[in-house]
This record gives sequence, C-alpha cells and structure tokens, in this order.
Amino acid sequence: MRLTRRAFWLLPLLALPLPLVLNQYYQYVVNLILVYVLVGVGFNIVVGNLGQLAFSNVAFFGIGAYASAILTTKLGMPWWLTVIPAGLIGALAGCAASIPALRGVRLFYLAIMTLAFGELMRWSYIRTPVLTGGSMGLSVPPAEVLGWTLTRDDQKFYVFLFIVVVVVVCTNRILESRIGRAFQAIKNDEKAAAAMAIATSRYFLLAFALSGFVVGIGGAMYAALVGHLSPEAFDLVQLIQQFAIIMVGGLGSLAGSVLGAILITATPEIFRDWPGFEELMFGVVIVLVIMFLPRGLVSLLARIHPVFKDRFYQDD
Amino acid sequence: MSKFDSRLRAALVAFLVAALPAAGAQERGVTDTSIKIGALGPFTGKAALFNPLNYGSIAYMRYVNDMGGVWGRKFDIVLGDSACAEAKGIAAAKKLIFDDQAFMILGNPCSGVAMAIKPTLIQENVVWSGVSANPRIDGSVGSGGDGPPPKYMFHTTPNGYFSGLTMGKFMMTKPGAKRIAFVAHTNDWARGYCDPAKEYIEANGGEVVLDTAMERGSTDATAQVLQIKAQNVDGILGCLYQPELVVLLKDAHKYQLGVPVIGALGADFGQTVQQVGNPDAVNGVFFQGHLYKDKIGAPSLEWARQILVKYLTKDELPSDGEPTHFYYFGMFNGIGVVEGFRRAGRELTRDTYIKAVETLNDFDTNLGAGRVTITADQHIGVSNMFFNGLDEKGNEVIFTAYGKPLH
Repeated sequence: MRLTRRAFWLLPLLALPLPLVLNQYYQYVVNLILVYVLVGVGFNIVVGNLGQLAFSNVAFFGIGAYASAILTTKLGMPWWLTVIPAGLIGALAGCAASIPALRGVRLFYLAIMTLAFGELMRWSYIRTPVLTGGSMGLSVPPAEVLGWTLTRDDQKFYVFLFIVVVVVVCTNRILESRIGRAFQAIKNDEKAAAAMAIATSRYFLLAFALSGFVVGIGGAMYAALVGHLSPEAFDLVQLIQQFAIIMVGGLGSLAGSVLGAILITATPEIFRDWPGFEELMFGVVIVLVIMFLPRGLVSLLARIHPVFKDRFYQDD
Repeated sequence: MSKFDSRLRAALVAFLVAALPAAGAQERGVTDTSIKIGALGPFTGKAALFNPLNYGSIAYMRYVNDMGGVWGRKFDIVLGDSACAEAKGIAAAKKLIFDDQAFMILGNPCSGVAMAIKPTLIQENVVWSGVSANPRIDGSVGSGGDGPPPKYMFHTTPNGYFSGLTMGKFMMTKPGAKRIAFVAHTNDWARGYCDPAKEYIEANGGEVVLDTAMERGSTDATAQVLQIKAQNVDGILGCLYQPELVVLLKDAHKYQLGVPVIGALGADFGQTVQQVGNPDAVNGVFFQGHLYKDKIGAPSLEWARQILVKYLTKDELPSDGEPTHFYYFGMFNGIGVVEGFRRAGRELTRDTYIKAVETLNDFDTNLGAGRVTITADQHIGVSNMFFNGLDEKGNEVIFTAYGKPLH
C-alpha cells in the first residue's frame, strides 16, 4: 500500500485513547508536548521557512499566554474565547517584531534586536502588575470550554489536540500555497525573490504575523495548562528550549517541529529519576542530533520514507 | 442455618477480609510500614543552591527512620526536581502525586512553582509543607494571604510575609533609621520579602526612598549602589539571592556606602560572608534573618549538625562536609513535619495529619529561634526570628534587634 501524507491523520486518531492509559502526570507531559508543537511550528515559520535569525518567539509565547490569562481573569472571558484573540495579539506582536527586518536588518543584528524584544516584553510583564500581576505572577482560573471546566489534564488533552490539529493543518496549507513558496524563495535568495516580483516586505510581515499567531495560540494553551504565569517563565532558558525544538526536529519542517517538541519535552522527563542527568542528556541529545543529523531528526525519517519530507523541505 | 446462608456468610466474610487491606490502603502513600514523602526542589538549574532546604528535612527523616520511624512507619522519600521552573515543577509534582503516590510534598523553595502546583495540590488534597516565600501560597489573613489557608498546606517555618516583616522591624530598630533603600530581584520570591518589609517601614515612620531592581545573574551593582548613595539612606534591604547579594555587598563597600545591608533568607549567611571575601565589607554591615536559637556551630545546635553530617551523603553535603545555614533551615521544616506525624497517631490520614499539625502550639523544635504555632486559621508556623551579623572583629553575633546581641 502506498503511504501518503494522508497517513498523518492517523496520528491524532491514534492519540485519542491516550487518556485511558495515562495517569495525570504522563497526560500533563503529553499536553506540554502539544503546547510546544505549536511553539515549534510558529518558530519554524520565521527561522526555518523564511530563513531569518529572529528570536522573538518567546515574546510571542509570553504575549499569547498573558493575553489569554488577562482576558480570562480581568474580563471574565471563558478560556476558549481567548484562544483566537491570544493568537491575534501574538500576530500583532509579530508585526511589531518584523519592523527591524522590514528596515533591512538581517542576520546577527536581527537576532540581537529580536532577543531584545523578548527581554523587553519580560520587563513589561514585571512593570505592569495591574495587568500581569508583576513579579508575583498571575494565577489563571481553570480553562472553560463551552461551559465545561477543564480541571484535569485528560480533559485539556482533547481540546489541545483539536487546536493543534487545526492549527498545524492550516499552517501546512499556507506553507504549501503561494505564500509558502514565497517564503522559500526569500529564504533561498531574497534579492532574486524580489527580482521575481515577490513583494518581500509583505511576506516578511506575513511570516512574522503568522508565527506570532501560531505561537500566541500556543501561549494561550500554556496559560491553561500551567495555571500560573510568571515573567521568569519567559526568559532566555525558554528561548533555548524553543530553539532546540526546531534545531533538533528539523528547520523548515512541520513534522520536524512535532518531533522536536516530543524529544525536547520528553527527554528531561525520561531521565527525571536521575536529577542532574536530565540536564546532561538534554545537552547530549542536542549535540548528537546537530553533529550527526544537521537537518534534524526529520531528515532521518525522510531517508526512510519521502512522506516525511515537507514539500519545500531541503535535506541536502 | 441453611447451607445457602452459611455460604453467603462465608462469602461476606471473604469479601470483608479482601476489602480490609484495600480500605487501609486508601490513603495515598501510606502503608502499614511506610509513608511516602515527595521532596520537591530545584536539584538542578540556576536555583540549585537551594537544594539543602530539602536535604535538611531529608536528613532528619532518615534519622527518625533509624530510630524506628513514627508509629511503626518509616519515611520513604522520593526526590522531585522542579528546576525552579513552573512547567517542569508541575511535571515533578504530578509525578510525585500520580506516579509515586506520595502522601505529602515538602520543601520546594521556589514560589512560582508552588503557585503553579497549588491548584493540583488542592484538587488532589495533597498535604504540603513548603518553604517558599510567596505569601499567597498558604498564607491567610494576618500572614500575607487574603482568606483562610488551604486546608492541607502549611509552613513550619516563616513565609516571605513574616520574614519580610521581620527584616523591616530589624531595620527600624536602628536608631534614627528613616530613609531606606530596597534592592530586589524582579520575581515573586523577592517581592514576597520586600513588599511586607516596605509596608512595615512605611507604617512605622520610615520612608522607602528607593526600590531598585537587580536582575538575577548580575555581576555588577555599581548603578544600584550609586543610586543609593545619591539618596543618602540609613539602610538597605537586599531581597536578593546569594550571588547577587555578594555583588551588592562588595560594591557597597567599594563605594563606601557605610550603611547596614539586611539580606533576605535567599542567601546562606556563612557562604555569603565567605564569598564576599573581605571582612571590611561585611563586619558590622551585613545582617540577615536567623531562624535558629543560636549561632550555627554553637554547642546547643551540635545535635542538629551531627544528624546532618551522619545522614547525608557526600554528594548531598557541601564539598567541605560542613552543613550550611540552609541545611538547618530544611531540618527546621523536617522537625515540624515529623512532629505532625507523631501527633497524628497510627490511624494516619490526611485529615488526622493536618488536625495534628493544627495542634502545634508554641512547639519548641530545639532548633528554631521562634516556636511553632499552627492553628486552623493560621498555617504559617513561625512569625519571628533573630538576625545574625558580624562584629568589628568578624565574630558572628546573634541579634534580637539592631545593636542588641542575644548573649
């Protein structure tokens, strides 16, 4: 039987019975993986697909999380109604983060400016205690979906899985469309793309906004999962973890983002019973993958079967 | 009795016999011979310097195990590494609760993690004895919270509210103290100390003329020190972790501030003095809250030292083998926790345990400066402490107020 990309639909279907076999701890880890799948997918749009060294992802993540938490706690909105607004606010942040790139800032200069954006946001959370709870953090009430309160991780799982499937499918559609091809052209040669009448500025803006939207939704899920937000959660360590997800999984690959999220989130949990070893293994996994699979884990799978190869993913 | 009746009776007896152990095993983490304890703390990551707070409790529990345990049960301790990060901390706590089936969770100096796992603890009715600063964790009206305390959560030691309040009180006992500066991290731990201190100072005729931030990882405090110098202050409260407190003390000396610096409990007094490495920068200048009834190393605390040294492994102790202040802090918590088990009796459930803890009234740990009192309305055991500092010759002195030595 010929294996096609439609087979990927089996993955969420296979995941459906997980809550029947997992306790709340393992279920929490699975939920955390789902959050980081969106974080990786969003981050990959700018870094992997557009090919820009932009590190504002943690800012989008924090903005999405705080947006959802503030809408829930201050305006009394049910969590499910805050998911799209969190994404939209993340998209707005993406537009703001794209400004240096639109002004021609590239490479390490762009990296530093976007890093600064992340740190600026962390300071903003600290300095606006009326909204964010400041340094003391903001406790988020249990997530509510259509009148149901999600107090348990197995309940959250189905909602998270639905959101992740919808967002990943939509992102895949976009990346396989004219827009995705434009991103790829810009990544390969920005000047050549401009010469081919591709409005590069527009696509820069679009990529950052799309990235912000996807990661913002991931942030809303994070707020619902963790239930307490503090500015320290959105620091450079968070950025390293998010960057590791796309590096280990595979730059420019949706399947890579999923694989990276699974590996980077699960590895410390596998080694949890040996404190200290988990950190070591986290580092070892990253080094080994980057040394032996520089295009990420997905390149290994792509060698096994081309179905794992994203349409515009380059493994040369 | 018919044959059917006797069979029915036999079946009923068999069912009851089978059901009895199950009924006994209903309480999570408690068997006839053991009580599972989850020790949650930052065993890795940038806050790993706080893990002695867990090891102190663990040492005391191992000692109790060696003495035969409590009511025939020994403590089975499982470590959970929170790395002081919310997402990881929740995973660690959930593993302890759902996978390891711990009866209680103790330790955890990280306030953010404690706040994040609080809903799970409440939902699952898990007993918790923490050492985190944030008053919103298990504080109630009068201890920094705004309602009754969570049913199964308590502090044997002071929380950030009482620690901060005591720092403010100590500062204001300095003759002529009016203008005070704060240097604090931008996290909930630091605000847990500094906010109540600020409240106290302002309510008692003082003025906080500067409340400036010092980020974690800072290696220079010149800007903060020069800001303070320009304000002509009478004292400084440093709600800082140890590495940054060391930097502040060094720079305060470098720019000759010449005013007392009061540190929070996030730094180990002995290690801080050692790391500053300059007697002139700390003698008569640096003071810190002191939870114990005497100096660490005093004969009256030798028994605690013996337990720590005997029951902790080389890896769990500092490289020189000498337990620091944080180990005693952890032991303080362990003593209160174990006393709860003693008072709860053999019929151990979370309800009998917390009721037993709520009978702690003026309980003397034989270690702490303050006695432990926990009631149904107040789950923070200790509200006061001493302060330690160094005299002009560098000798450690315990103070009851500024300039008033204990001995």
